[in-house]
Amino acid sequence: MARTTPLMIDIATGDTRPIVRQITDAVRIKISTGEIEPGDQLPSVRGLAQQLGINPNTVAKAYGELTTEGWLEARQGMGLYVAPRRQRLSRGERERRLDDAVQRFVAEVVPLNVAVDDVHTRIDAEFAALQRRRA
Amino acid sequence: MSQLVIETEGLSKRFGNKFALDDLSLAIAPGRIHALVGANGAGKSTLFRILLGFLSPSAGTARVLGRDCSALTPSDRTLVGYVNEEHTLPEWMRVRELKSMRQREYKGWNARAFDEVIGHYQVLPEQRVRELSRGERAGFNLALALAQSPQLLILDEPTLGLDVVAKRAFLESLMYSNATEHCTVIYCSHQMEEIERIADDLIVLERGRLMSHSPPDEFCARISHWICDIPFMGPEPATIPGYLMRQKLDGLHHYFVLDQDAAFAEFLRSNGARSANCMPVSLDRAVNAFLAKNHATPTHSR
Amino acid sequence: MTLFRAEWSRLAMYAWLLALAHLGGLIFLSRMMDLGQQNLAVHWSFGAVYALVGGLSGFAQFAIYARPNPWLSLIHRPRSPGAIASSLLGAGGVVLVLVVALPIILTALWQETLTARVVDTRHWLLALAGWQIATCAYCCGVFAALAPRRYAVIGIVLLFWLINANATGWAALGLQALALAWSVWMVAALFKANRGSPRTAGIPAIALPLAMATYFLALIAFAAIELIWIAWGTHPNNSVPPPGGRIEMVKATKQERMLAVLAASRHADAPLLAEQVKLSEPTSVGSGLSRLPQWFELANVRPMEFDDQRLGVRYVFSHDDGQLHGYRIRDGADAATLSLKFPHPPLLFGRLPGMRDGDAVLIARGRVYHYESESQQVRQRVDLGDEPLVSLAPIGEAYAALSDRALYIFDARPFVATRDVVAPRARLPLPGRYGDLSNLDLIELVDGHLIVATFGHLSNDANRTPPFQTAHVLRSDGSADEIGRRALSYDHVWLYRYQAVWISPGLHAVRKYAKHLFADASTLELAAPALAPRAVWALAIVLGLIATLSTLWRLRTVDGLRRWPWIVASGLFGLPMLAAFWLIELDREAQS
Repeated sequence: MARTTPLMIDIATGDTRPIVRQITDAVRIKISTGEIEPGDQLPSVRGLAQQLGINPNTVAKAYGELTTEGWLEARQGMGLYVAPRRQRLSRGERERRLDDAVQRFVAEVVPLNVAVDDVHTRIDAEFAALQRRRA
Repeated sequence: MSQLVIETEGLSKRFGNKFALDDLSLAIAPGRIHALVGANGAGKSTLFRILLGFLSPSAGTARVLGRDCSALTPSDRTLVGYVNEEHTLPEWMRVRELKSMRQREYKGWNARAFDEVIGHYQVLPEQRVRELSRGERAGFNLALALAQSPQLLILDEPTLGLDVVAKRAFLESLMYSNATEHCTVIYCSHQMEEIERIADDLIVLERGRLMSHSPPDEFCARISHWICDIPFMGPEPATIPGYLMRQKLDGLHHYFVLDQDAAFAEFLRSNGARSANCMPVSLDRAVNAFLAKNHATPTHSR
Repeated sequence: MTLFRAEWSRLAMYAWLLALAHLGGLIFLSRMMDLGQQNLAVHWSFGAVYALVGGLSGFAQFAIYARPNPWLSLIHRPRSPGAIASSLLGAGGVVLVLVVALPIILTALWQETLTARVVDTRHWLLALAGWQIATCAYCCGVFAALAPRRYAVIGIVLLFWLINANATGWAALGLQALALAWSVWMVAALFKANRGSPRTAGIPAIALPLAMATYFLALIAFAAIELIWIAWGTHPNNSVPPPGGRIEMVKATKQERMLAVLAASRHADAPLLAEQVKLSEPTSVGSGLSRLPQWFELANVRPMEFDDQRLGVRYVFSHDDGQLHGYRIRDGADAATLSLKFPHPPLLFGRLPGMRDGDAVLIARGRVYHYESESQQVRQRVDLGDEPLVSLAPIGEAYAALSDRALYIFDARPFVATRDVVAPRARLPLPGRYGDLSNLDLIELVDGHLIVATFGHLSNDANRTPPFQTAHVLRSDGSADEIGRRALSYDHVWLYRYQAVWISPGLHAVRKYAKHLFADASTLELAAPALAPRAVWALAIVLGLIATLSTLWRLRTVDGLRRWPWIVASGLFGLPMLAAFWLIELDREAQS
């Protein structure tokens, strides 16, 4: 029987993101960076709820979203596991989300009055770091 | 049990000329934890009193578990647990005595639920209730309430005055008890942090009126925070769509608005804004902005 | 653990402490006096203490439940409010058994077994009486804690009733039980989740005492107005009273009273008699006795014991066997019981001619008995049957005895000369009702007595006769002549005199009824009140109509069942009931 992989995340109340978003974001990043890998078992709903001190229903909702999006998969009677790597979103959806993210990013950065080149450099550096972690 | 746990229609309660509840129509489906927030005097306590039959409404109807609130029978009361902020318990009784008394009174006594909750606390059977600390008393009260196997559990600011540790213990024993899963919990609190952690559903009351009833994240999503740079005076609040609250900080205008999309930026620009940026808000700020709407706020118009 | 036991565990400590204090107090007092032979004033003091303890206990016990949160916790449980009330009131009742009844029983037991004092059934019943009074007050205290503040204190009306009622003995116990039941009804009316609006079935329990309290408040307000009137200086009581009036006679001396009626008389003998009055020192006959002793009464009208100083024996009357039981004063050891069984409980009265040291006179209704110390026997000396005598006093060479219907003159000599029953020499039927009699003044004439009776002048209320005076000459041969009669004016207008009636004729009647409930009609209270003037009734009817119409208007939108009882009650009891209606329905009306 596979052991549960610890999920080293934390949530903050008072954040502008709802707790469900905080969990889904954190799990997505952990999967993307390879911190947890396909086939790893996630903590139970109740276990993660107790770990974070939140309502189990909230964890269930976050897990539900991640499963729908294809990040996690449920195995009958055994729990939730990280799904094998595959394209998790349709092309159109990916386009839409990318649009969304870029729009928000630009809206927040423009008022900063930073030179566009500097922004590019910073973004490249961040992605490079991610690549390194994943490798 | 598909019927509504709580159902009020046009419920009003008047004290003299003041309305504590004003045409309140609320429907709460079975299951889950429903948080009830509202400023002091929003009518929460009045609502609970009416629901339990301790006040009669001036107008409208109220039903609990399908029964008219003014005609609750002893067996209906078995199914409704109530915990208040004082954790009113007979001070002179010993923990053991009070437990055995409740055990006799409630047919569906769930000893496991009691032990599960009381396990979070260092409460001895021989202790008298008046000797318990605030946190222990709250835990004991919750253990008693959950062991009664209620279908509806009303908690009226149960963590008021508890320290951090006691508060956490209280919330955990509430959220992770098996008994909680079988009942509908109405949780009333002023502490947004708690509500964020435990609520599946958020009900906002203000001046006796139902202002919002939705999951907390949906509620948050309805409120946006706009920061814009408008020389001179901003638009009159009365003309702002979805206006909740505004502040002028360091020459920038901050607006909290309800149900506004990107078109609001156009509105701001048409009112002379040179820039307009939108931010999501936390639950705390969202509720604050929402409830601030009808409060007098100093206008910084200079 | 049940709610009853939980509540008992809360109160037990307090109950034992109070019970011990009470027992200690009774033991201490029993050492100093025979508590079984005390008069009504002493019993009232005990009753007042019991009522105070009961009332405060009830208030204290429920004050903590009365706040909103504890009340919710108390009622919101799977038991009916009635069951919860029985548990809590039951615990309070048991506490009072312990605090009030048990020490009385223990004290009686001690007195019965270890002393020669007389302990009758009526003494054992005092434990029940004390418990009933305390528990009634307890329920009133509970009511005060639970009721809206505006009518919380009306339980006082019930306690006031207990003090004022005429019932004695078993009847008094019945009356107390009724007051207790009423107080329980009052509490039950409020013992529900929503205390702001009493149960419909309990509204009469609150409405009647509340209306009565309002009625008393109105009467007190009138008394206050009168005080201000006196302070202002234009009140007839102030300086020189109006001539020919009631107040003039209140302030008059015996001599002046007698002269006043003679001066108004056109009888030929009147001037001569007036001269005699001026030369004599008139005597007053009267007793101040307002009721006669009754079998099994819980308190004595007057002490029913007397000491034979010569033998050093104290005789105490026992209601159980109707005999006088003696015990030695010095060491409390049993002495002889006198064989005579009295037909009625006797009272100790004055002296008879020919009495020696250690003798005593006892009167049981119309029979006068003489206890002779020498023979240790009781002899009957006067027999007027069941016509109760209230006074026996020497006037010069003769003896005057006053009953509830006549004045008798006895010669003193036969009392000394014989040991037989002595017949009266002359009898003058009272020219009015005993209940109206305020003064009876007389002087001795050469051949008889001049008797002036004044009726109804001391009280100003609607229950007494219009004041008048009479003068009679009663001669030695038994013949009597009326010499004069004059009516006194009231000095007050009807509006003032009949205030207790026109404010609410209904409550006036209820009050009278409640006072006499279960009591044997006391002939000493019989009066001949005049019919109230038409104006009083007209005013009462107008006020009753105002009350009825106000209620009718107020309840025009309410359905029948809640409406008609109020409207009928307002019609019967007038403005005080209207006030009760407002105070009780204030909350309900705000809600609909």
